Amino acid sequence: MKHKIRNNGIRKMLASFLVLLMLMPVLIVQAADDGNINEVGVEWALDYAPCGIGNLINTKADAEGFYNGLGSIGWTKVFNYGNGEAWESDFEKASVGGSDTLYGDAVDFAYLSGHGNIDAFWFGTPADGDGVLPCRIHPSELSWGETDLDWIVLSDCLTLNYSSGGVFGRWRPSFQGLHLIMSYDTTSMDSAMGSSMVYYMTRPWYLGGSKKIKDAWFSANIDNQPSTVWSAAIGTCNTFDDYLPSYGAVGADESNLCMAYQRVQS
Amino acid sequence: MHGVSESAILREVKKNMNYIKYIMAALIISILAAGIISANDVLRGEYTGPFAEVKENVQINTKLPDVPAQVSVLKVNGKNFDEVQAKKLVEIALDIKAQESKKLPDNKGIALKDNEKVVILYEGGQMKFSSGKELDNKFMKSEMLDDQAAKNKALGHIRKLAELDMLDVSAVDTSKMVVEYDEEYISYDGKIEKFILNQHVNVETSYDGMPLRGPGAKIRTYFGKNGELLGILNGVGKPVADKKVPVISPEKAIELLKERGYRDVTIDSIEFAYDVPPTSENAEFIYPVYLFQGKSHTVYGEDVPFYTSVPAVAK
Repeated sequence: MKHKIRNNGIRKMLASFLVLLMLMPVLIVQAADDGNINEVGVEWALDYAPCGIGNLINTKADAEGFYNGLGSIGWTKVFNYGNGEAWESDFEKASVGGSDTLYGDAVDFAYLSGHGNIDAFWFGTPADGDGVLPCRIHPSELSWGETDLDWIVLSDCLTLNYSSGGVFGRWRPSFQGLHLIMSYDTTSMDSAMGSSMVYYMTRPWYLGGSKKIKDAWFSANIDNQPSTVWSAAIGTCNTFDDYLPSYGAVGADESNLCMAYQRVQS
Repeated sequence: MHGVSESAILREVKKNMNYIKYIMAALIISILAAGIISANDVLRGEYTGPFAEVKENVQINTKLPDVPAQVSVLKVNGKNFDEVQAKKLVEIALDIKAQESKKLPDNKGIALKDNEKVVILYEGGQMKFSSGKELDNKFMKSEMLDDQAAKNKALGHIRKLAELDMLDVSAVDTSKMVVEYDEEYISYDGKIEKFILNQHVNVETSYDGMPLRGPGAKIRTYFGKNGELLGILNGVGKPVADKKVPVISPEKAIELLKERGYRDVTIDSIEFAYDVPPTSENAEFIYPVYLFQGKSHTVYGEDVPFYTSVPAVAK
């Protein structure tokens, strides 16, 4: 009898261990919040021929400057997709055929560089989850922060245009645990801000010390965009002043009831 | 097997089957998850079609600029400040007694620090001053200087920089000073509250009548409450004319724009200007460009704006 009980116990332990082992890939990718692991993912488009828009020159340097900059301070580089490999569905929610829980929402900091307008960030290929809004991610297709995403840069024209307060109505529903979106109030020039933004988030003390994430975005734009361009940031009120982890305070995820927005001349 | 009943064996087999089901279910879930991710990654690659069919349709809603056959490339004259010169300069220009100084990596310039205040003097002779709080305030507009007083105060700082040979006063058009405000809005409970982060004064710059544009072309003074100086950008320094180069026509520039895929577009503005690179690049030369702003008309019925440059030097 004792022998039988011991055998059952061993079987249960073995089964549990096997289950855990087999679920590892799922657990790794779908980490609801992986705590101290800081992950970054970027996507960019230079070639817009599949979507019939003019090509860009600096989006690869823009996104990869950010990716490699965070990588150089110990962040885990999870994905860097460009042109045909950059899919809008990576950032769209499952209910519109997207897979954000595996990609865009599964990292802490994401950076997209490409074309944009007031309603959407535009990708270079029509890899849409449900085929309704091809070539672009529209706020109605987004639900960010439910898995892991805290901060995202949309390095494109006009996406955070203030529009007499309309920016709050457009973007508030996308905040489901997300802290900040950084982009532009106006049309922006095709320039590379990514590495400069990392510099300001991690700046050494003798040059003024590290800046808040949104202020680093503004400073990178003052350095790299002409003065006709106004950069912008929107976030939940208690996370609007987040610093990069290890460089200052980070607010806890909160509801989207109170939202803050800033527009700053480059 | 002696002494073990048949029913006990069956029970044992059933129990084991339960474990096997448990393991099989987990295996299928993990294979599916890994499969989705792998399939996504394997499928990624160069896009092979279908491509959006774009008919060429370039509308120009602006007058083409008059352009000379040749213009000068501008040279940025280096300053090579040593620590003593740099400390003296910021004391005169900004009334700052620097406690610390440090050479920037790659000989890009020198940084001077007085508590939260930081001044960077670049090798190209440009300057960036920050009190450390130009983006970190919440003011009401009534607390700021009126526009004319802000312009006058900015002009005082510009004159001081000119006296110190830090900018070319002929490049500054003081009749084109513009006062702007960086802003914050808070939306809560159906209401929106507005605050001012800072007030700043921009000055238009040009060289020999040709506009200086780009990130490094800024001359700007930041003010806080009651005109407190929060920052200065002098991105221009003192450029001088170097060799003359032939330039392409606006028509040729539009052709080059089309070659980059801007084929179904409305061009709202074309400007012939010098493109001043970011100050931190310490560029030795400043080149002429055509700056285009307009809209791409997508096949999905939405317009996408663009703002891009085409080099103007003929090859």
